[in-house]
Amino acid sequence: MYYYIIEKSKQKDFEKIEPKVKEILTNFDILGEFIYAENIVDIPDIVKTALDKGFSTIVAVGNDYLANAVAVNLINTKTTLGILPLEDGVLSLSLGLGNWKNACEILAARRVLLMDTGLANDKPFVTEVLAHQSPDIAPQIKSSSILSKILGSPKSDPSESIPINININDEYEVASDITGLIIGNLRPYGKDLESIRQSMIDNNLHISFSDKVDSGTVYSQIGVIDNNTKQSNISIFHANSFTIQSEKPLFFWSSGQVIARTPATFSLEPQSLKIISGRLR
Amino acid sequence: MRWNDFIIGQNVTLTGDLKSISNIYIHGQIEGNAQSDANISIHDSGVVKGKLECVELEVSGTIEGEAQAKKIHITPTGKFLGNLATSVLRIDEDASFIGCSKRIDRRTDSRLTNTDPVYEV
Repeated sequence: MYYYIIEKSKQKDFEKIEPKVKEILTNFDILGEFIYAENIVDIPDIVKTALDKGFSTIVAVGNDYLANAVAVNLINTKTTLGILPLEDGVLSLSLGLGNWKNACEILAARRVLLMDTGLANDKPFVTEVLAHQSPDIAPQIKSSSILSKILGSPKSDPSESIPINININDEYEVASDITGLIIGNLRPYGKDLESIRQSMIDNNLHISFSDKVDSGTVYSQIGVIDNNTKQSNISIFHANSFTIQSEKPLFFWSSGQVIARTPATFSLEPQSLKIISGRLR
Repeated sequence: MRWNDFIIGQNVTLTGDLKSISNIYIHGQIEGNAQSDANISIHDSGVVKGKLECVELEVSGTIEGEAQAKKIHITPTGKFLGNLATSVLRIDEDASFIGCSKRIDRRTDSRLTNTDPVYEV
């Protein structure tokens, strides 16, 4: 049984395609219950209701924000997440969903990927966490990768450099001054979608930081490194458990909300989210 | 660059033991050991005090310690102080190598065991 959660803000977009979507879903025999989410903060209750009703699949109809909000409530449950994108997003693109028509077929095909997720001070996240010195202003991602169109955003304010220390797996410590830092579960940079998808199931979180650019610009700098490893202002580490300490507070943002602050312990929850994926090449 | 490569940036200090299945690019400092199933590059600003083990090692920065790799290349800006073991050693003009080298058979994985000729270039 499928349960479809639609963003209220996308209602007009959805209504334009609703008859066609429902026709396709009916043909695939996966038409289910539809509900509009008035606000992203209502998602936990909506998902809980769906879980209580025993739906096998909950489909986020909208953008990545909605998909992430639904996903964090499905971690370590038996219920599978599907995405029916109404606009491009990192998650939907990384999963190879394409447009809504393709996504309907992919929902029906139901290839389930067991995706890693992350914990930041015990708060779950699915795609990435951005560090920011402000608890009030959300950092924005910039990228020059294949995902640049969807990640493009105005340049955020340059941040003051602050010293941090990262203890990685209790095996080594990294000390640096940073202006920007991203912890990614998947890596929305590089030229190869397959690599990005592999990073969702590689049992690692990916720590990228710089002492020259803000968190939102780190990914675009990595795009430069991709072609020239002599670039030296970006660092990248991969680990499944680490702790970040900083002299001044750093706030970690995910899907528009602060989910942790330093000192922060990050860990991986391997294969903890069942998610419907497009065909692997 | 491979998607799971490590990069140690210019103003970064790493203390301890780093192990990787992928490449490691060093622009900062390592005080400890690094081991890679692929290659390690120490760039101009990179400094390593410890032991490195990898398939191919390129030294354009400074290493004080030991290294073992199938191929080791010390470029004109590279400085190597210590012992190395390798099948193929290339030392460019203006590079610096002060220490002991041991040639290892390409088909074996022998460790640094002796202190054969000392080179200074």
